[in-house]
Amino acid sequence: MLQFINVFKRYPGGVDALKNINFKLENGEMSFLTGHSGAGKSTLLKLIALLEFSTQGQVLLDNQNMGRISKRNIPYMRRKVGMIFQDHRLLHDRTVFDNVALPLIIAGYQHHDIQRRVRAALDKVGLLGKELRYPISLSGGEQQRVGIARAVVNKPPMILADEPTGNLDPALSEEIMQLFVQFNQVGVTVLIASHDISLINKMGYRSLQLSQGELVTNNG
Amino acid sequence: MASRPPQGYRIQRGFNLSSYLHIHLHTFFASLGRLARSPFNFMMTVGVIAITLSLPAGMLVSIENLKNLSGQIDLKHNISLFLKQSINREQALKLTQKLQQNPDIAEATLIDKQEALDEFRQYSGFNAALSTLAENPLPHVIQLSPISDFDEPTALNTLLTQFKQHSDIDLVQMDMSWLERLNAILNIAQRSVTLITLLLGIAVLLIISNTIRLELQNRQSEIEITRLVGATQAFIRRPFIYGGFWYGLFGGVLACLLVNLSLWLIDGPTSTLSNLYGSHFKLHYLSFNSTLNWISFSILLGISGSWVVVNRHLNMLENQPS
Repeated sequence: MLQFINVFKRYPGGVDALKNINFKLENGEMSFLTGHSGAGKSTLLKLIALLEFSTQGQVLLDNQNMGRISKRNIPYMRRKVGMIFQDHRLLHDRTVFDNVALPLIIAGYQHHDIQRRVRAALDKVGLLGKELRYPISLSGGEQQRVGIARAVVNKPPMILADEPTGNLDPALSEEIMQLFVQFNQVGVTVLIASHDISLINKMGYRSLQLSQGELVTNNG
Repeated sequence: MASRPPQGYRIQRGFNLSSYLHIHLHTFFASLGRLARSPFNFMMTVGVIAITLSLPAGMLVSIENLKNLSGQIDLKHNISLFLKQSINREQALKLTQKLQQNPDIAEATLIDKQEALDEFRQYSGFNAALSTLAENPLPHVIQLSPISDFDEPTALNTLLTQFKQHSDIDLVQMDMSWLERLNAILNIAQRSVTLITLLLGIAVLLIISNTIRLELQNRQSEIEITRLVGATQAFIRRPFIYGGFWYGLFGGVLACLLVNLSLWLIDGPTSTLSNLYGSHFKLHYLSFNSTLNWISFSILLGISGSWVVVNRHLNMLENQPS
């Protein structure tokens, strides 16, 4: 279970990105995080993925305090959370296969294991057969799918997505969202930051709304 | 994707030797492959390292060769004692016998002044001039050599002082002192080259550090992304350390090749020269051991140069938000 207890995040210079955030997300739950740009959505996700740390309060994942994770353990904790970015964050000098294989190589998987798992992940996002292409030769939607395949390839219990459909047209956005629904159906906890309100309403999942760093609605 | 339910958030950090070795092996060749993809840049850096290292390596091997040359000349100290004109043959013989009994002296022979004059007459061609002399102008000379392990300068000096103070002896002359001076100069040169090696070693360290620093900058996004998907510091560090290793290895090998190539180029003229002097002097190339030493030295510089820069960079990243 993911739990935020009185979480504050202040950036140097006195900017309060998050103010007194409290919410719970059960294991296996899927939820949206909405709000305008600058409302603190990315910051909230970064606190979970250990890319940032709260200035006050606690972020708990199955009762482990993320603020107390030792420096040594941070990389291992990051492997438990698959992160997807609006700008994909792909390595442009590596093939699709190598991009998706990266988390497995880092975790020290064997070669044949890597082959199998990368194929499975690419199959899931509908990119099987494009392993040897370079990201630059793929469309924006396909690049995002590579990013998703990379986030799920080592089967993390949680997926965080930061504006995954930000640059995509409505039809493609819906396809991407359906992928997340499928992951959620096999038990993965999913938290998606998005400002695509119409799509979110259509899908009918719980949504958390942030406004100027505060959680204003928390409905499910 | 998973049909099996995802595991929880507990960190499992088991150590698996086979996957550890697998990662190392992968990085080992991947880092070489990366360098091979930009061969021009790689060879440029390797060239700079090689030339920098070939200077001290070349100087040291030259000094070795010169030492070797001076070693081929019999380094036995030969001391000539010129006796006073007033000393007659009997006294000279007695002194020679006394010197022969001295434990510090291996050999002492008397060159009789009459014999010396005869010899001189025979070889110099001044026969006519010499016959006009009323008496033999040459003194008796005792030639001696100290025992072979008598190499300590202070002990030798005491012996020389004894001779100089001896009432029968007019002049003491050491024949091999120029060779000693050469050896002393070579020793100074060797010491200086050690210093130069140190300085140029630091230069190589800086060259490699700077190259790795540029590579860190070029691969900034890759480093960030690998961190995002859970790479440890060690994982990020590894390819750069191996990069430093490859620069060191190739730089060291090329440096040794350069030194041997230079020696090969002067080998011909050198043997012509030594043949003219009737010497059997042969130029020595870098020995197997020094080749190994230079390559290890270079690799060590490569690894430590990249280690310092990469750690500095990673600590900087750790302290700034992603």
